[in-house]
Amino acid sequence: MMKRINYFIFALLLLSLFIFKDSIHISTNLLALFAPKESVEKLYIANELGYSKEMFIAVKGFDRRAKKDLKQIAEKIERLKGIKNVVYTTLPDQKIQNYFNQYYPLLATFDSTKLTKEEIKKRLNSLFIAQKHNFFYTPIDKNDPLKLFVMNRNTLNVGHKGKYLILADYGYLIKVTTDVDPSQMEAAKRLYKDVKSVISSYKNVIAFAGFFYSVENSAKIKADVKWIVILSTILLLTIYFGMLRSVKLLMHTTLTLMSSMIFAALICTTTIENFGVLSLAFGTSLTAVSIDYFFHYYFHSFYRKKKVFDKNVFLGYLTTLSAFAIFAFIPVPMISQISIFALLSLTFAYLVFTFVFPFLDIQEHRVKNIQKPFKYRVPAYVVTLFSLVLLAYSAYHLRFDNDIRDLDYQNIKLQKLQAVFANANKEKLSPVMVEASSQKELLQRVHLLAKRSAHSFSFATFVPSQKECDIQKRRLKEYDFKRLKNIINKEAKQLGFRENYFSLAYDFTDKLPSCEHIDLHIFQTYNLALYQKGNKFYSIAMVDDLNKIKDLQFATPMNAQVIFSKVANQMLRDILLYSSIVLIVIIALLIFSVRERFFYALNYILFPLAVSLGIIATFFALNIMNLFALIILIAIGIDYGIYMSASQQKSKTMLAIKYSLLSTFAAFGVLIFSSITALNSIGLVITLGCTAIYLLIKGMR
Amino acid sequence: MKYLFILFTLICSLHAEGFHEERYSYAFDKTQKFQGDIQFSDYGVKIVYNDLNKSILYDDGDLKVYDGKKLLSLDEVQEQRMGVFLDILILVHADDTQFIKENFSISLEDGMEILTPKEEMKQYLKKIELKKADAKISFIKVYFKNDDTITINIDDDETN
Repeated sequence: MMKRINYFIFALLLLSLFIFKDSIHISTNLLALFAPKESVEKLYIANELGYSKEMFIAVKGFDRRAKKDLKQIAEKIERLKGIKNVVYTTLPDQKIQNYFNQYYPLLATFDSTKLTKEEIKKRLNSLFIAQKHNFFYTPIDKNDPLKLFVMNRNTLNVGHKGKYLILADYGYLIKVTTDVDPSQMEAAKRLYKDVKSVISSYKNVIAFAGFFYSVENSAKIKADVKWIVILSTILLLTIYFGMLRSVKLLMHTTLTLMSSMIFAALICTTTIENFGVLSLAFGTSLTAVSIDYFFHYYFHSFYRKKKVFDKNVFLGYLTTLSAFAIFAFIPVPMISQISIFALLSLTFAYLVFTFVFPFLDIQEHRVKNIQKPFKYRVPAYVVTLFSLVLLAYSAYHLRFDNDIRDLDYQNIKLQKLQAVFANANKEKLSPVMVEASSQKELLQRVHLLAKRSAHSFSFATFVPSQKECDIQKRRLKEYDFKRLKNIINKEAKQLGFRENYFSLAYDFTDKLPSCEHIDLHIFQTYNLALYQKGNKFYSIAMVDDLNKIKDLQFATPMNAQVIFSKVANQMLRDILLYSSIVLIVIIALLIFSVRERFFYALNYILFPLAVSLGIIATFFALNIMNLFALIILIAIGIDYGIYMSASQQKSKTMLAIKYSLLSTFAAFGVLIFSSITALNSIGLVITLGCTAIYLLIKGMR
Repeated sequence: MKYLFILFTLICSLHAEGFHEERYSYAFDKTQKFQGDIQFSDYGVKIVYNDLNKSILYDDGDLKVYDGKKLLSLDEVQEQRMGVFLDILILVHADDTQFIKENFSISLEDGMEILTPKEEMKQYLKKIELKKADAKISFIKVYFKNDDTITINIDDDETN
């Protein structure tokens, strides 16, 4: 019965997995793993407002063929699923046009200068001459013959040729608002495929949208990860089987690791809100670290001797546990979640390797190759000193890369395309989110932004503030249009115009519309949206200089790069703080557990950290993924330090650590072969750390 | 200005080279008469008022208006409007019936085609009357919103 307990545990966990499958919740919101709740909330609102959902299509050239292609493509794109609106001219849509017509007297610039009889006569005469003598037809505006009202409608931040939008010197431009944001992978893939299918039948047509990165990069990342997973699996199986040489033992070890992963995953995904898919993936890999408990037991014949307890393995486990327990409180959701997962999976694996494996009738390992240290070994205090010097050098030379985009797959082709479309805007503007407690206040606030930022683009570009509206109404009310109309009709008749031709002149100023209830939703085609959540109103405004509005509390810059830089910097501070606490606790535990061999054991953390940071400081920039890998390095380093410092059978301990290192390399180190910076950064640190630890077990005394 | 180009647009569908125009001004209750020639290239159009020695040249988005040999400068709004309607002119000349259908409702009355403007055109035009002879347009009358009208009679090929 006891010999089958491992299978029984695994079966029980599988059953639990089946029973609780409906309670399992895995979040695919990667943003929530890194960014604080407030930033995620703001980015969510920005998403609802349509920010990052724009797509651009450009047709090369300005000839008739290009214009024909432009219209055809726009029509085809408009019919695709996931498209909200398509714009390729500066002309407003019908709703906006109706708004302009209705609010014309309040929107147009009004010249309120009191005109003399002579001036009125002069202006009417020029109308008379223009219509009579121009060789092209020059219509007369009977409503505003003196041109007192001037409407400026070219307010879009996009270049244009005639009424058509253009992309600098490249050609005509189509601006598309989609329903798809970069995190909606399935919808993004479908629209990407549909758009490519439309433009592929035209020559010299290019397209770009933010979600193109998600689609193209995910394909590259998938391919990259696929071969790394294969490589990792082959390496792990080869190491385990090559060393254990027993299918039964391999089976039990693999089952234990899988049970530990299922146990941790089950608890985390059913109890932790928004447990992320990335945390699950890294937590699962981290479970492989627990194999060192088994190796240590196995190579020291723990199972044959039927010992109940091994102090060194327990201390190693306890120290690792303490480190992850501290990291579980870090305010970086991903690291906190991974730490909780590791706490659970390592504890489960420790318990099974310690209390279940002795019943599995495991044969004793026959040592074939005796592990020998290097001929010349360095004293521990020298290693400590060298590590401290290297850490000081690193602290001085280290540069922190807080640009989250550097971690992604570097899609040069798409980056170049994005740069081409960056020329579409006349002014380089940055998005800010404006928050207010009413629509009226929101308008006031976007107008305040517009005053600070001369080239801003927002609702303020099209909708007057209540104050502006009231001023214009007052000016129109105070102006003597009755007198003006009388003079116009009198003078016009004398000049030869038909009697009462201007009888309706300026009557449009009699009944002015209210500015209080303008429907802001009509400006969707200009990608200006209003979002209401509870009693808060939000909108995006584009401003030319963020510095000019930085004191305005209601305006939050929405540049993803800026947000993530802040998040990355905060993460660095948090990780440094929590790592310091972890180091203090580890030092205390080491003093308690290894006493006089304290520096010897501490070197298993200091030296790998110093080597990794020293090389990163010299050749690269430190990123958040490096930091994450350094935490893993601390976790594995503690165990080896305790084992080596307390070991009575150095050769067997060295062998156990060697296989553990190989296993860690197979799980994490292989990521060094990845072309994705995020994964490569983890692989680099783990590979350097594993190499450093190997040098220590062989070369430190 | 732009209404004139709507007329030209329609004229171009005739492939006519010469035209006579009667421009009625409601403001003065007077009619003016013009005549001229029109010539298309691949991406442009040239309109010449021979007796006035004035011309309009439009080539691939580039607009030039001449008084004799003197190049006239137009303000941005005026130039933009002309560009838009010259584009329309070229598209119609290229037999772009889609444009007509997009912007006008078409009906028949006493052997004449009546184009009633939709949406954007509605604020400038009341209607356009067209008469065809041998599948070619021979007569166009444009009714503007301000009660002005422009009547175009297309010359027969033999008279040119």
